[in-house]
Amino acid sequence: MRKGAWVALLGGRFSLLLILLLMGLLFGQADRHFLTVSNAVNVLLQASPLLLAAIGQTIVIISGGLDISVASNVALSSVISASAASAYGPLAGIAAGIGTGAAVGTVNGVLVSHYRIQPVIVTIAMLTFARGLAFELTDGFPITGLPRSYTQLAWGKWFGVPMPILIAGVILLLVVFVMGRTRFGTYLYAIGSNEEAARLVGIRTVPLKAAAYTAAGALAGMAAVIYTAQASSGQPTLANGLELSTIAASVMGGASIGGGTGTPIGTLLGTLIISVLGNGMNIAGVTPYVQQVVLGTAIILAVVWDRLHISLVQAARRKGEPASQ
Amino acid sequence: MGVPVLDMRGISKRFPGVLALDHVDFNVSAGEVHCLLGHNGAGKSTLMKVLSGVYAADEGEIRIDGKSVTPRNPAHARQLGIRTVFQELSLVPALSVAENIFLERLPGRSAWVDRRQMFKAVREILKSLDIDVRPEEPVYRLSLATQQLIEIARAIAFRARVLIMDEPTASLSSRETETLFRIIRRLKAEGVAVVYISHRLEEIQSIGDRITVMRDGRNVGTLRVEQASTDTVVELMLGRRLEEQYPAPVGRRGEPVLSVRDLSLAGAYEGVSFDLYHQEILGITGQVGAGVHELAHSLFGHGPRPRGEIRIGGARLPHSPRAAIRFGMGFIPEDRRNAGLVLKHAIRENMALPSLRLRAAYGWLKLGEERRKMTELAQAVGLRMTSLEQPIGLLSGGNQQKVVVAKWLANRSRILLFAEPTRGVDVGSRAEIYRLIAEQVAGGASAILFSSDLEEVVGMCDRILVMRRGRIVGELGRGAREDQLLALAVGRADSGGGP
Amino acid sequence: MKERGNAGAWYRWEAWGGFLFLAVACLIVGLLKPRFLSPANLLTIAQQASPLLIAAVAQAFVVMAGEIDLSLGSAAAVISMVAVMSAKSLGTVPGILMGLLTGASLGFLNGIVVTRLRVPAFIATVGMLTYAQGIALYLGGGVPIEFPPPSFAWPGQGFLGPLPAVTVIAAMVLIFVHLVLTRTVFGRHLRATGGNRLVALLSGVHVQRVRLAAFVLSGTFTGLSAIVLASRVNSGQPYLYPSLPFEAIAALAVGGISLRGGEGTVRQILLGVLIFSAMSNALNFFAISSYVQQMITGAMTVLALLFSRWQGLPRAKEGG
Repeated sequence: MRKGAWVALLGGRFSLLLILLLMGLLFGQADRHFLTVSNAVNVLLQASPLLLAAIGQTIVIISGGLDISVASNVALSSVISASAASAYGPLAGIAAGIGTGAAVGTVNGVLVSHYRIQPVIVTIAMLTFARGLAFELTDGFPITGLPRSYTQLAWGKWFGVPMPILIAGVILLLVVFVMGRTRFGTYLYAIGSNEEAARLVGIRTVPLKAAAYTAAGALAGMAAVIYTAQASSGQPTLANGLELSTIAASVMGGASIGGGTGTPIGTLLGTLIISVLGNGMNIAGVTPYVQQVVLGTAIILAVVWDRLHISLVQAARRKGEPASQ
Repeated sequence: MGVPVLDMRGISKRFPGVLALDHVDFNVSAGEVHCLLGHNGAGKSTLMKVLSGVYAADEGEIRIDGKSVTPRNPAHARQLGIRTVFQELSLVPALSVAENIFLERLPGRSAWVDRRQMFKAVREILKSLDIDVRPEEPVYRLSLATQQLIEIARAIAFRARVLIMDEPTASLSSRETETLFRIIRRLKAEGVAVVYISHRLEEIQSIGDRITVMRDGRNVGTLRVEQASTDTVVELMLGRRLEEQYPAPVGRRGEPVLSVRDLSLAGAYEGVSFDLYHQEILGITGQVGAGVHELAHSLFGHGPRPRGEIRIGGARLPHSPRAAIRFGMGFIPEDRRNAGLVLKHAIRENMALPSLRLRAAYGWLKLGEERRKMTELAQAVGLRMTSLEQPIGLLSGGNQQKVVVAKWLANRSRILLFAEPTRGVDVGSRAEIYRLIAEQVAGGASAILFSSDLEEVVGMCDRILVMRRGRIVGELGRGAREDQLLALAVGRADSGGGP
Repeated sequence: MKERGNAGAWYRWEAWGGFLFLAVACLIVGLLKPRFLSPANLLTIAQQASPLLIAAVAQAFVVMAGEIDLSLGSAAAVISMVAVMSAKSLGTVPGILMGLLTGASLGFLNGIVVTRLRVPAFIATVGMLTYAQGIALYLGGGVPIEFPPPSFAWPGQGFLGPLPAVTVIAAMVLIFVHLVLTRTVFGRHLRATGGNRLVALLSGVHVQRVRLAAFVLSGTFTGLSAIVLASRVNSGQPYLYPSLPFEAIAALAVGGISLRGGEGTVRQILLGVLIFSAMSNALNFFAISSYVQQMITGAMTVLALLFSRWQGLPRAKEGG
């Protein structure tokens, strides 16, 4: 953690913690099942794969891009991971899942950075492509017959901590360090914030931007492996709407569309809010349809808030400038 | 004095149609501040771009500490110890001060950044430079002036042999300028060679050792600061360009058509008041950072809303380009390619854009009339093209500018705002654009020329306002001389203005 | 003079070369599978292409304004539900009008979020996608709404003489849009806004209003597309046509529209949709699954954009 980051974390993201707390109290009031340890673990279990994918989204947003193909990438990786696992064993399955995710991400990245096609267009094309491929490979049916050791990824525990939570936690820490402490992370922030300036000091922006998508793809692949283990099958219909949740989590956590800002910790908080919201609404018996409406509204509000914040900062900066004498 | 740190000999650089640098000699010794002066287009920035590896010289030799070098690209130039403080900021807003300073060479082994070492080093650098900022502070929170200082800190964080500063005080207050000068004096003591580009003579007098003046791509004189009176420098800068043909003045002046009262915009200009008269060509000039372009945009209702008021024919002008156009204004912006033309659209479409409603009934265009009118206008402004349907991006700068002017002629605009109308325009087209302006004014329009090209301002304008640091500092009539303008714009060293 | 003649010919080749390509490709398919070129099949292609064509027009309005609309699919679902519901209670014509109105309202909402709240279009419309999908499911309780009045089937299934009604509707839409784009002040303002927003602003275009109008028009045409689709299946479907926005974008890209805003002609939209629909149809002849067709949709979008870059046209140089 950089010095002052905790202050920034608590200062800037304090509102998120507050929202989280308020939601907890609210849902706790509505239903006493909500504020139990087992439900908390349940929320975290659901949040873990979402967090992995959302961190990937954050990395891409920091670099100045956007990935709308996450959901399809997860579905494709899930299908391939499940096939590989049932044919060659759990390790091959995991490797295949992450590898597929990374490969899809790399294609996105190269098209965006080297061929300079808009990220939105590239990733919606990939969205269609990957979803089609996932269905073609499975003919639309789930792939079952996973080895038990593979599903252990979802249900196993290590020192009492469920595996998905453990994996997501470790990855989160890793990404916190990579984005905050390494050249790669610093360069990505630089590229997203002012690409021209980054180029001027000699940063190789093209491969780095592509790498952001590769990383996001690999993280989506990991999310796919956990989802697959949780569902005990590879599913071509998996993760519908995930692109929206991941963007929402990133933006709530402080990542601005346009690049240069965002932190994995912020994304964690955003992910938790989304998961708690979903879990609470489930317990409160809100229909999934209404849940979708709520989520759609939430992301718009998050982005509106972000825009407002940016214009406030800009206005403050203009005022701070010395007027010509 | 020994071997100069930087020695440029016989540097020439040719661009299509122009000889930008013509056998320029330029050298700086250790611990010397060598000031470089000259108009826009005189060749100073081209010379510095050759030095910093942006352009390759066609002829000539560059020596650093006596060794011949050829900067291949900016990164290579930096390795050679040549560092530039850019005029437009090149910092990364999202990163901290420390990360920005060290961005090109982050400390630490392998992939990891040694943040502790970085912060420590930066804290020392900032302290030694007397810049009061925390290394952890993100740059977007800093004022522009502080960002400028960070930019300088970045340039000297790694041992620089040659430091190029391009108008470093443009956005600094007098106190910050003092800080900057202290930094420069310390660098001098350490034996760094400083190239200092500025138009502020009083600054040059207080910090410089030698002055070189450039004009038309040549070094027209290098002298010691003590010998350089304002008059000598101004004389060197002006010289005589290839005789430009300016149209004869219209010479009439009617009622005021546009009145500006106490217009202010934070960080750009302050307390600006003036009138524009019927059939007048008014010039507004000033050096970089004087607020001239910001004023032009404000008059046209673009950008942040200024305080104060603008009246046209007695009515108060609302703040929007649409209102300005409705009140009869037309704007030829300084950034033609990004603000004046939709480059991927055809000439006809661009030219017709502001005046579509004049040739439409209930929203339906009369295409025949449009084609006729645009053909007519294209001939009137002397546009050279193969077809009106040609994409405009393929035209030359001068022809593009004629299209921008024609846009407003088609709309019968009566008040034309020209911002740098001949920047990037070849000599031939330049005369044609001057003729166009004069014709319009003779036909009953009024014009304001927002221009930093003094010769053009003197040649074209009935009346000239000079701006310095956001304020109007003088008004001159026809027959004004360029040296008078220049002295006002840069602030006479002996007049005591400025820091 | 000779030079100008050449330039003219070149422009015409750019304009119609794509159709030549389409014709040759169709001939080749026809040689392999003669039934592909039978009048009945060509009619089927026309019928299938029509709703997509209307949706592509909807997408084109926002794309030309320099934006994008990813909510087309679920917006169409809501519209189909609303239209069928209203048709059942109020009659076919009010049902259709309600559908168009719903489309326009959803577009208006997108437009307000994008222009007033300054949310980037792809985010706003992805939000709308989820939002509208929720409403579509909510309206029917998760199941389709069926049995509209018999006359509701006409737009999607009826015939006008030898021609399918959908195709006639689509053709009328094309003519209307062509006139709007080439003959109206609004069309020019739309192109200028998408081409360079700053230039448009400094030329007196009411940029915000034009962008909003683009979304409203897009919503309205999405409404029309949804109505003919609902009419074809005689029901309002909560999952009417999820891939609609992607196919529409693919069609625009294939037609040669840059997707960076400010350009596009009705001819290009038509070409893109025809290539797309003819290809889908041809793939059916070769018994290639709809999944592969979906993959091709994605791949074609990117390939078309790469291709137009390689062509080195002035348009392509602009991008980047």
